[in-house]
Amino acid sequence: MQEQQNRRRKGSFLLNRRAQLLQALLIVTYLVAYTVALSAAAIGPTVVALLRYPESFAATPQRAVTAATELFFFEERLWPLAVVLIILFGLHSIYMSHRIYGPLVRVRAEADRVAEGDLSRRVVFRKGDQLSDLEDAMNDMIAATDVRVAGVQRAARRCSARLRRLHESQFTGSPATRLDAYEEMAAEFDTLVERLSEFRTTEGGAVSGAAGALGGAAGAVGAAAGVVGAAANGAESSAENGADADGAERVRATGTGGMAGI
Amino acid sequence: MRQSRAAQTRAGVSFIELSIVLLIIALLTLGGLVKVREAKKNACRIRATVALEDVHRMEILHAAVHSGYTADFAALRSLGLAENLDPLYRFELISSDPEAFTCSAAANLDGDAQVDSLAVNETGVVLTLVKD
Repeated sequence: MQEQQNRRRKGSFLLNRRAQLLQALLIVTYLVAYTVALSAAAIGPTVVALLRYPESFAATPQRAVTAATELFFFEERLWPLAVVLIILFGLHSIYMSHRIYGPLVRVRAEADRVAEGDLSRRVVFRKGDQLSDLEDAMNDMIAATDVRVAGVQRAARRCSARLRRLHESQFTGSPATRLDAYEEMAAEFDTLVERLSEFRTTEGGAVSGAAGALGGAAGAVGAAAGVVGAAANGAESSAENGADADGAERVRATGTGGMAGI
Repeated sequence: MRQSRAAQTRAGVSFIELSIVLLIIALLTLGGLVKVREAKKNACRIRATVALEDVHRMEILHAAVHSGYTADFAALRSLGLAENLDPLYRFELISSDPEAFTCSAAANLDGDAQVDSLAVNETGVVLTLVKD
């Protein structure tokens, strides 16, 4: 269906039928009004004089011939030329509006794709299209969004990997390994928060809220890392007397509370 | 590019507004064209009158050279009368004797049954016989 529409659009000059016809009609209206006004000003007095023929030319019969010649010139040369020009300008206005609405159709299609989450495509206008600065602006916007979203995706992937490592260290690693894992986790969360903070939203909820929650989580992970560090130190000084188990217990409690904010 | 109803209502000028403006211009143009058509009839008469005056001038010249008027357009053309006197009017030259001639011009200017008719004779006065 979409392909059929695209194929039809390729062969048609009327991409936005209503707007383009309205524009052409507007131009034709202006030209007709202009022609009528100009003709009325130029030939009006002659027509009035000819209507009162022969009284109006009683004093100057030679002027009657001039008046008749003027009227014939307008009728046989100028008005047919004006009609041809009005039709040509009307058709040309459709062609020109095609050069404007074509890019708009492409921008709209790409905007729909971006809205669906596809940031890999770029807007490409046809040769000779108007609004080339819009093409550049759209492509810059999509590229910038692409870079930012890619940064967030990378940071999120790293967070996921660190989280997995942290989970594994709970069961297999030493307190020092766990401390490293917590610190790396906190650093990755900070990166993710930084990436998300580059976005400004109108609501201040979606992205900023997520960044705030992640910030809270990063803080909680940092605090947990501090506790693990303390526990590790305690474990070294108390010679494996069970303090490690208490520290780990506290880490679990703090970490759970911190992650609840995500 | 499909437009929503809201987008359509936001359009600057609607088809109806533009159609009304075009209708007003069309009515004004129509009124003007009726007057122009009437004026054109008179302009056609003026052009035919000039042609008849040319015929009269050539007849005077012919009479001076050949001692009499002629009913032959070819003879007048040999003296310098234009080949095509008028694109609308049909000209007829009548000369029953060398001392008199009548040249008439007739045309249907507006397609009705009435025919516009003008004539000139040796006096040189162009008469409008019937107005279309």
